[in-house]
Amino acid sequence: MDAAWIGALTSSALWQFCMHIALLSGTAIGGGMIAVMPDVHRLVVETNHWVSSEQFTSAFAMAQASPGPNFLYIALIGWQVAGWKGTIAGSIAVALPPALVCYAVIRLGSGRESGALQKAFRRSLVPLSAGLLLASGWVLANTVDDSWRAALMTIVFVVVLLRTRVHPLWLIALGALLGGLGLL
Amino acid sequence: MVAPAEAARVSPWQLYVAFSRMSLGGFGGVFPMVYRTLVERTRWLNHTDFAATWAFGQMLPGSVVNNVATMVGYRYAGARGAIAAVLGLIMWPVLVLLAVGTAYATVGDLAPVRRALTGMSAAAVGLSMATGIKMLRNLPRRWRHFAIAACVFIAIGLLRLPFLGVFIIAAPVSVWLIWRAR
Repeated sequence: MDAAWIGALTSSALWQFCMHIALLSGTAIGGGMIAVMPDVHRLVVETNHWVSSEQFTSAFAMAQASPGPNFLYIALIGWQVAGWKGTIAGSIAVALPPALVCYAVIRLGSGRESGALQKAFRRSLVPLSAGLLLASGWVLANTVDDSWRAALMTIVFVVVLLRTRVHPLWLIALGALLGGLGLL
Repeated sequence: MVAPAEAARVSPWQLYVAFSRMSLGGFGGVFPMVYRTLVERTRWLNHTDFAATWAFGQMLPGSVVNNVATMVGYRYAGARGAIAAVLGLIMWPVLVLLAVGTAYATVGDLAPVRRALTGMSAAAVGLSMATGIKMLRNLPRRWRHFAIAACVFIAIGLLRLPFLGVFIIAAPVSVWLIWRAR
């Protein structure tokens, strides 16, 4: 075995990124990857400077506007870290660990609805998830809404989403339009 | 609930196709598509099964949809079914995102594109916030639920503490508070 080769791999940004994402995705109870977004932001923006804050929020917004599950915003962050390899490896790192945990749990046969403690656990995750989601929104808002117009637009969109049943995709398209016209 | 099914058999290929369609049809979250496909279109799960599977998926790490794909795949076609369902869920969106990433690398630095992305980001932030507020509104009107949500928000959003450390402390406290209040 060539030790230098292994050393180069394990010190690469791609490897570091994937290992951290795998650890996060395998432990993210109560809201999945959206809820641990502040940790992902710290990893790729604040600690390692692999992507800028603007690239991070752009990746999140583009993933929201694309088809597929929300957690795949990691695939676009992966693109920023290490190109197409980052997308592929990042997607595996985000989907495989929880799938393995889930598989192990159902194989071990604890996939039965049982016990008041399990129910209490499930119910106690709901306020945790709410707090986690709001924290994610807050961390993102701090990087995006640096102009008062962008902050105002976020607030208006929150109100619209709470008051109406409009599809979120329309608001993202409207945001792109208003931003593109230079109104933000 | 998640044992391999006694009645109907569904092939891994059918699972792959069904989850591919759900993931490609779901913009800004795939939950509505998953419900429509599994319960209303294919009828692989009835409403009660779906709710139980979804609730169980929430107690495990990672995205709920990913866990539901693993469980439904396993239930109908064993390990191969689980692989087929998860692969269907992520493969096509990842290909789309590869194209999006490539496009961003090419034109992402242009001023109008950057401005449009700022607008999209502001909207996406609003979406996350609104989802959190909706969950908050649906909580039982008890002080402990709001106290837990507020503590988690302060610890992670304002103090920027790591998720795992906060979870290890907050989850048992939350279970204890809600258990005690039954």
